Amino acid sequence: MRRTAAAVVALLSAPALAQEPARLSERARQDREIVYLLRDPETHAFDLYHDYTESREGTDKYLNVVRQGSTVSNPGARILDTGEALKPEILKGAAITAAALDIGEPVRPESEVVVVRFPPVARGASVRLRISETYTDPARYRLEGDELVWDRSFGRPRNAVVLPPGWMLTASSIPATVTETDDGRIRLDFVNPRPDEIAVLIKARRRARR
Amino acid sequence: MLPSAALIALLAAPPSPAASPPPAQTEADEYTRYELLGPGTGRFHILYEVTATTAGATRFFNPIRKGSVATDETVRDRLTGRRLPLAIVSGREARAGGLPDADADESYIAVELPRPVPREGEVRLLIEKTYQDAKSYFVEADHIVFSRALGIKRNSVVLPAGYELIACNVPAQVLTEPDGRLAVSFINTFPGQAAVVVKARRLP
Repeated sequence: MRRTAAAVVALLSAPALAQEPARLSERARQDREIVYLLRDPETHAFDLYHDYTESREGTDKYLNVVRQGSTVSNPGARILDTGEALKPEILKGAAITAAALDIGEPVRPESEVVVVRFPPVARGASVRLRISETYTDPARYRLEGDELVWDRSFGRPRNAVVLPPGWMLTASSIPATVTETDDGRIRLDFVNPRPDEIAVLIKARRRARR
Repeated sequence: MLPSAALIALLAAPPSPAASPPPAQTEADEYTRYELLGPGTGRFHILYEVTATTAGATRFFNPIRKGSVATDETVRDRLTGRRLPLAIVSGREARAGGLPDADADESYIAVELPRPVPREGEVRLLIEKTYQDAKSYFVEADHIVFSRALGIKRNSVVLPAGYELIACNVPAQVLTEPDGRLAVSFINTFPGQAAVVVKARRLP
């Protein structure tokens, strides 16, 4: 009986133990950041670029598993250190299995992944990549009446959202710094120093024409 | 060899105007790690990650803070891990080289970049140096104090081996390094400097 109870306790605490390395990684040093550039909300589409540094020796590809409910198009990639453009590819379902890619979760027919290949990282070296994509996500980016709604969680320490041209910010659930871009768009920068996700809810409405 | 027509055109061209000053230095993605060395020495080792982002730049300047004595400066290209040539230069030279706000009374590490910063790209550097600064790192009663205004937004302070953390005035992660030292790590989300005070005491 006691053995059974101990086994149950071990089982229940296993997920928490498994998460410990991520929770105890140094947040300030994490180097992934994403900038979202919103298109008009009727399209549910937004462009994004995602920068990160790969420093694991021998690593030669980056896999971006597309979030369920989103679709991806227009992938692009470059090595920021040299300016060299890379050629990403989008693989779906069976093509992911055929390429023997480990996407960290079971491959379903609707699974979608962006693959970016680059020269293997040498010992003591690293490479900084910029991956750009266009996402469409009707559930998380939409128009409600005449109001733009962005409702998406962020896991990275640094994220930015740029409103479409002609839209003014009316609400942000999470503290952000706000700036105006050179072309007159409103940009929100989110810095989350904690190792958790932030549920970002942004609302905006069209500026009256001058 | 130039074709002769081009050569003539070149010879006939008016003298070139004085070279324009280099574009102002820009940087991004800064992170600093302060490793506290022997208590009472006032010495700490700095590992500063910074990214040069001015397209076309071939040099990068990093100030040596007034009041700190710097030694053991090295700079590496983080793309390859290779060491880069550097020189210690005056504020005047840094100003001429692309740092218009450089303090004339301050010294700067001038780094020769391994390649010009690509357009829409960057050159990532790791600058290491050891500072001696008894006003920033000192012994007080039975504990050590690291007290420094930090302008960089992402930082960590690593205690000497065998020390426990007894105070930190900014919200920070506390982590144990693989070698057992404690690290205090934080992101400053506000626009000004963070006046950080960390205190630690030797374990019995």
